[in-house]
Amino acid sequence: MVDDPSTVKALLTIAGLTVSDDELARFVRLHPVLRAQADGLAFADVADEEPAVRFDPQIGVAG
Amino acid sequence: MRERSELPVTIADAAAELRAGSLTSVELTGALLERVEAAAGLGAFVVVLPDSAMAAAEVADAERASGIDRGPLHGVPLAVKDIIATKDAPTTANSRVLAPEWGKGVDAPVVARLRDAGAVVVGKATTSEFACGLPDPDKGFPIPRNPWNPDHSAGGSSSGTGVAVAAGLVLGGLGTDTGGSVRFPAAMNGHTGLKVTFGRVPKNGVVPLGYSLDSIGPMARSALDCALLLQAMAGYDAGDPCAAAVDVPDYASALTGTLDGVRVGVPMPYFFDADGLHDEVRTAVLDAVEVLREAGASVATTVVPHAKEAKDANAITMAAEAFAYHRHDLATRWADYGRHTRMTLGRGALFSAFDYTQAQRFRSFFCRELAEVFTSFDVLVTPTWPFPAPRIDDMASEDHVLAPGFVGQWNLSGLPAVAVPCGSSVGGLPLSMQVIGRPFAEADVLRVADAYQGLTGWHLRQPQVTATPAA
Repeated sequence: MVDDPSTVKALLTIAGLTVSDDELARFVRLHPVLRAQADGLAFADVADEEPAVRFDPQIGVAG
Repeated sequence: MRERSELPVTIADAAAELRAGSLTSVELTGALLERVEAAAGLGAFVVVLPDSAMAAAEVADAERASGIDRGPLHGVPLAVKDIIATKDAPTTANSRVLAPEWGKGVDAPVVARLRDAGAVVVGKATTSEFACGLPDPDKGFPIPRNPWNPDHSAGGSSSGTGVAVAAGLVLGGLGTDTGGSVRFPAAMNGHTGLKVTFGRVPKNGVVPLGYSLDSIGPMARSALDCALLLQAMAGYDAGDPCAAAVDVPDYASALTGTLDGVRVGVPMPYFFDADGLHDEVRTAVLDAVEVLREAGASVATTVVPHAKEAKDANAITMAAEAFAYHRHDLATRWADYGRHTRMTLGRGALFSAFDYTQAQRFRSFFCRELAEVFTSFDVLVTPTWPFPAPRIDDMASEDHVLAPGFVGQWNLSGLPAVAVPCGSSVGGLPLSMQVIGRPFAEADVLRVADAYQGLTGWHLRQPQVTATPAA
């Protein structure tokens, strides 16, 4: 269950965050909304796309 | 000292007076510093720099007297958002968390460029903490207030620059935009604000929020003023790995005053029919589109596919990238962050590596879709923000997750977008339209905004600011 408080609490704990009970409750309420937003990006038209990330392999190379 | 009504309200007018010798930078800077002090209750500045500002004004006047003309910003007072490094004041990011020595006491390249152009830095302008979240009165920083109604929000995160420009405390300034932070305060306070193409202006020397989204943009009363600022700001810098080596055109010369041959697309789905879009905003923007038609533009409705998903992808990208920057401090100093800021930043812990990567795959897809839309149009026009400035007391950090959003799409895609005042609500609060262009086509969006402003006067309206000492 994505809106299970234990899931949210575990994610926050893994991240090292210590939040108040009220803040935890707010994160729990928000979590299904955030999950729906993230899951909404996984549709078929995107399946062949490369992610829009690049890097310069010469970072830090002198000259 | 000159009276309020006698001072120029735009950079262009100030530049003309300064060049003509009918106004000195010392006069202008001194008068604006008096306004800043009188309006301290608006919370526009974290720190004001009267000594260094007056010294810079004296230098500008001396240079002019000796025949040196550094251009239209020479001697013009500006504000710098307090997440941008300056040599004459520490950078706080409005936070108790940022190390006091951050920025190393040197100017960010964009600030150095403005100083080279002769600009006078009046102070460091208030920002939402780390350019996100909402003001927290418990943290000791000024609460920015809307000069049209101090009980209402000034927007964010470039709140202080927005307030200062709208209230006539400065003639322009710098904001940053990761998910609307130049355009939101421009819309709330009733002036012009340009989110530039990603990479157009070097962003080194700025406290990061979203590494792949952040941009520094000009905020001023008019599109012409934004063009004059951008002219000094734009261009490659080797210190920013995201800076683009793309030629900088003459922005002001693109502002022809007419829109003959310009194709304006109006994306009706989502941007004009989303739940939560205020009727006054919709009507004002559609009325503004008719003004663009009068100016010579051809106008047609269109569709921007996946607009809602693009807003979400921007939010996910920002959450993940900001969390990477802040995780250690959030884990060790949670309570030192403002109560809204930590809730906003903490969302990054709830997304997965897959979510972030998928958002970047969607980003490629969305850019491709936009490129197709722009084969038929030169610019798109949408509302900037879905409603007039809310009351400060009514704002909650979760609100914007659920509200429709019309700005993040252009951070995700990196496109330039300018917020332009286009009306007033029945409550007397500004309304704003947004003009979006192709990559590096700042000249196009500024041309459209300028043509609109040549036929209307919304950008020149000024709130009646009464003396409001610091709370």
